[in-house]
Amino acid sequence: MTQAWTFILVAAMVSYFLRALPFFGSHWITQISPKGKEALEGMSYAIIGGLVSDSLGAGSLGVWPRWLAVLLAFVLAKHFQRPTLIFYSLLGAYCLIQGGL
Amino acid sequence: MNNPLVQGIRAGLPVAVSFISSFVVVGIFLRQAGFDLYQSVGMTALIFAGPAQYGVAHAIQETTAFWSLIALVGAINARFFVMSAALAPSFKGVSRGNLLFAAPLLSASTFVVTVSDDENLTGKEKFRFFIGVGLISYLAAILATAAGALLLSRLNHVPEACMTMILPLFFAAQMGSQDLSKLRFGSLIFGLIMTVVFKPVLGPHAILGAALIAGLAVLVGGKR
Repeated sequence: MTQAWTFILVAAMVSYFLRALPFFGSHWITQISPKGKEALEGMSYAIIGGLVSDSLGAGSLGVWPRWLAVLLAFVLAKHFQRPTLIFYSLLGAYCLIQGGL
Repeated sequence: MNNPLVQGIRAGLPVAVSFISSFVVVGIFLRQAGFDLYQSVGMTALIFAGPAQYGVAHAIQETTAFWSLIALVGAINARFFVMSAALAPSFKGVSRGNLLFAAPLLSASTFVVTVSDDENLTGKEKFRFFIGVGLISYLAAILATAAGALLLSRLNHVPEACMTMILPLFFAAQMGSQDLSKLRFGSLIFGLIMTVVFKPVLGPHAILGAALIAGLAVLVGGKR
């Protein structure tokens, strides 16, 4: 696995580059218009939504119990304002049900 | 008023707790994929992105070509570019050196907590808040990866259903607990739906495709 460190370092550099590039250009990016800032914010939240559906198995809506669990997490967190507790409760419940209790 | 750094650490605690579970799983996965403890922990310390780490592990197992690895990690982590571009205007007055030093602490979760916090903070205060959120999450991720690699490597497998649901449940609970503006909520739902729609056509780039269209829609359709 000596090759592994090379791969890890390359992946790390790519990840760092993507994270740091906008900061590197922070002098012009802070001048961005409010509309541009909103567009970036919209893109970021769309990515988060995309990550959720991708993790759920996007392309296969047949996994409805997963979507139901996510909807439940959203609604419960909105109501009770306890995201961590709700996250662990639902994850635990989901794993137990999937594991046949 | 409280120190923004301490505020950030407090606000980042739920993220850290969630990272413990997700990165324990990363640690287990990496050990099972043949990485040693140092490589597993090093990967989290240097990459700090669960999906990309899974991708790198697969790439090594399948002895993927170098350029394919770069493209793969670039596609998976392209979201970070957008997120730091969205965050950068909030850090007005912070030196470029400090920003570049803090860049590795950015993740989807630290981004969400930082952008949804008090809008009245100055650029430097917001940056200290981000550092607080990032540091506690980063440390939790590293320790959890080590724990997963050390303590749980003897487990035969972790149920796939549990692994699959960590990320979506975490994000859903985080999003639900926040007072989302119309723009944020709309973009979230747009990304959620359009990724499903684009998946058959764009494959692994579906998320980025949905995000680009969301950004364009805001630019073209916004009121200002």
